[in-house]
Amino acid sequence: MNIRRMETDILIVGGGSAGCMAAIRAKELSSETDICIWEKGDFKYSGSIARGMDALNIVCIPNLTDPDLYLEAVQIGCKGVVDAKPSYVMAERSYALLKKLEKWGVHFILGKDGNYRTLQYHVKGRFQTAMDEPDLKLILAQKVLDAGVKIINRVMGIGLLKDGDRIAGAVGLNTRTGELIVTIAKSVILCAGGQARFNLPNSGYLYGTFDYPGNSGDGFIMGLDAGAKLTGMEYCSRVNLIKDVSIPLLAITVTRGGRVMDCFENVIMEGAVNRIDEMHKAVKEGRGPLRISLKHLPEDTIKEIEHILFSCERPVQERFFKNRHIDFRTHDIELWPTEVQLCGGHGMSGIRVDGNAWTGIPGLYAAGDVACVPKQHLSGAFVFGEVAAENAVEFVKSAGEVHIDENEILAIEAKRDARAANIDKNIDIKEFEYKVRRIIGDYVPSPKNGYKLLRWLEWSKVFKKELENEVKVEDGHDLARLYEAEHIIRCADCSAAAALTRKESRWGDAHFRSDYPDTDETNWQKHVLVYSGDQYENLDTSTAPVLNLNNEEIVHEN
Amino acid sequence: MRIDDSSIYVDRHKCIACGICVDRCIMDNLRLSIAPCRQVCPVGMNCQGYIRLIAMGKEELAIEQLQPFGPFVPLIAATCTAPCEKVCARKKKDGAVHILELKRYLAKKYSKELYNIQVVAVRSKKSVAVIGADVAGLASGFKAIQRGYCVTIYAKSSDKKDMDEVLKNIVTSLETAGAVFRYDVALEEPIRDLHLFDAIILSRLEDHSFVKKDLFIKNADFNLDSSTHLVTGNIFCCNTDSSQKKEPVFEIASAFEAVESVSRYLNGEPLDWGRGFYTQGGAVKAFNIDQRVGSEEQRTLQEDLADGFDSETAKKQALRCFGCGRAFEKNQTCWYCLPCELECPHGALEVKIPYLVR
Repeated sequence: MNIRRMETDILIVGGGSAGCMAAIRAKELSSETDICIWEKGDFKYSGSIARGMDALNIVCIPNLTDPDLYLEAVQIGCKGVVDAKPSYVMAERSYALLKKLEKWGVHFILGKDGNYRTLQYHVKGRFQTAMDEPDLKLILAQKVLDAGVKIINRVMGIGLLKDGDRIAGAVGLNTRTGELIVTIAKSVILCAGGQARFNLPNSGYLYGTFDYPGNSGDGFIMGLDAGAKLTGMEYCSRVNLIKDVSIPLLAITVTRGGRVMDCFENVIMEGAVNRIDEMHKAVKEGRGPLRISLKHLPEDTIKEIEHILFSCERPVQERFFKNRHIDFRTHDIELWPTEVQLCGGHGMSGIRVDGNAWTGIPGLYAAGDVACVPKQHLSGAFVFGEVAAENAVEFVKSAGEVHIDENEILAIEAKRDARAANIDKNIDIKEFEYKVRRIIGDYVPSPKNGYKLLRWLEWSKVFKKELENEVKVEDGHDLARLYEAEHIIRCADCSAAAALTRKESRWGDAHFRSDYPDTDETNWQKHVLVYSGDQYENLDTSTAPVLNLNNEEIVHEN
Repeated sequence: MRIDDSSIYVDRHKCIACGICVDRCIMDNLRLSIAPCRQVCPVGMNCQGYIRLIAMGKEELAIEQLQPFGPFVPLIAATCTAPCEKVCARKKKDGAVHILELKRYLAKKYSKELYNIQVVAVRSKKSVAVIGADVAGLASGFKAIQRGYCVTIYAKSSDKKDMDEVLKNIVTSLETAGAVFRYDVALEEPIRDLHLFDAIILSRLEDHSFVKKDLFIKNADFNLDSSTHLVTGNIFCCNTDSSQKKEPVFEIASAFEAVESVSRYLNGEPLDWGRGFYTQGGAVKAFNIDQRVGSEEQRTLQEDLADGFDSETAKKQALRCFGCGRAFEKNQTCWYCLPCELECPHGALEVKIPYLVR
């Protein structure tokens, strides 16, 4: 089979929110820089915001909020384990970003007073700024195409290439045909999303996840293999969303006056999403299922909520509620904990980056859900897409030619060929993924303990062997699913290794170890890093201190 | 092939098998099954597409389906022997749909639109030379223009004289779209400045011994690849097999394939990337054509349709089409994100939420 080879200055892996923004910014700065985007799906509507978005999650509007306040809010949200610089940079640039998007025609809702409509989604401050833009991705995609960026659809990244220490390009797999693509690049920006397909959603449907299920941790594994360090992998992010369909609506309904109640009608939140921990606690104590009630709201507000829910982000919920005969005027919306996801946007897992989106490997940058800028949401993806592009353009200017090692490519090709030859095997790829994710759900998320986590690592060995030898691959699509399954298994390894290292409990449900049930502020207010090594399943772990705004260690007085 | 639409519903009466939803799906869930008439068509014309659109009363959209063949539609309609009708699924029931006659009906009624060539919005700076102004040469020039390249067509002065009315119309429409015709060169002599072009397409290789000389191609280097139409370097050849007399539609097909290769070459892509071993899923041939091709003689159109269709009879005829090709859910990976439904031009597709989630 053929390998497609090409050269470019900057390769962007992933054409979603962060990838588009990076491409646009890079072309703004230097129109002669050659840029190529790999997109796993189809560029026009790809990524987590395929059908637009209801809010820009974090904006520091002057005279209302400021970056310092945001930093305080995110530090509370992350229980202290967050490097200050990236979050600060994001907050600082967020208002300029809003203005830029508005100029492109993105519709932000204005209140009666002519100011942006802000909503409270954090413990402190009204950072969330309402948006009503079903065509957000179309606007971005058009901007990218107008800038003359080359798009290659249906390519998932499977490995990065290096030239000595620095990055030299990447190898991708066509998800339809199974062909390889090798792109030699002076700089690579990873925007490949997080890991949405971790354990099973409670519906049991493999792709019924909250985040875009094409995000199968490809970026994490590419970074890991290239020598980048992952952080926060023990943070198993899980929220309460619409039962069975796992579609977000908290921010839209509650910030507009909806009530979150437990089954005893106790109101947990009303008007602001500021007590997420209480929701988890209520579920844990058996006061679930939680419900969102909108009955008490005036008709106008319900109409507004319906308009946004049924047009932006996941418009499919209109038919979901219709199927279930749920009318917000008479019925409550039942919530349920979603599947676990590893993600830098909603949680705090990802490739560790500094305020320049730099991963520590010369030429390799990361932005969006694949990078750890905790709870950055869409704002972070956009801002860090831009930051990554600025630094990559700067890097490319002074970077010389790269040379790749042909043997590396031959090894990847041989592996692909061996997997593609498994046409006569017995295990169906879907059943394989189902079992992998069921077992991940059994052993990796909270409540965790040393025994369970080690059990997963044993299973992981079995799965990796089966993956190479017993799973049936009929066509290019199956082959891509097989690579995804591999990434799912390896992300679970990372999560287990990090959880084994963090010998305390933190972040409530996201990391609770029954053998170390207490939070240890003295010893564990720090990062757990995961990288290639040989301690667990080809992984090593270590800890690293949390950094302040000047990138100095924060010293805890005790 | 199991066609199990657990979460995607496709209305067979509205689907024209255009494949837009398949392209838009971000989970690689959908595939296209291609109707027999399109599978046997040498140029892969979406017959089902324009016929269903006539049936829906949307003739102006039916023309869009023919735009990829632009000014060549009248030529094809006039000369094609309609292999599509031989495999039409309706044939065994009560006779094939009159596909060719419907094409003639459109070609006649909308000739103005068809001669007006639709070109991509962003034009390329790359230039392509076409040598020879026979059907294949003109077809290469047309496809290259449609893809936005700067096209120069070299022809013998006698070529112009020999052209019939249909070809002359094609030349005019190509000129309007920006192609440059050069009749003043003597093709027996080396053509000056040929090396300045980014790619060269020859129509009929053996006529061009002069090109070999001019471009310093030695006979030994000749390695004409019939699937990619590559001769050597940046030189491609369409209409490679001239030993037997062919219908124009085969010449056109070969020209389109050659331009496809040229465009890959100019984009720096391998000529056969994306057509690899695993592609069988990309467009599914779901019908066993051989079974449908009977031994009966093809009915002669002239007998029962001497005057052609008018818009009413055309619609009536088009309504007979079964609509065999359609998009379907192959991989069951739906994330119910809806771009497929949104982009479907005819509202044929509906996303149902998968049963496990519903």
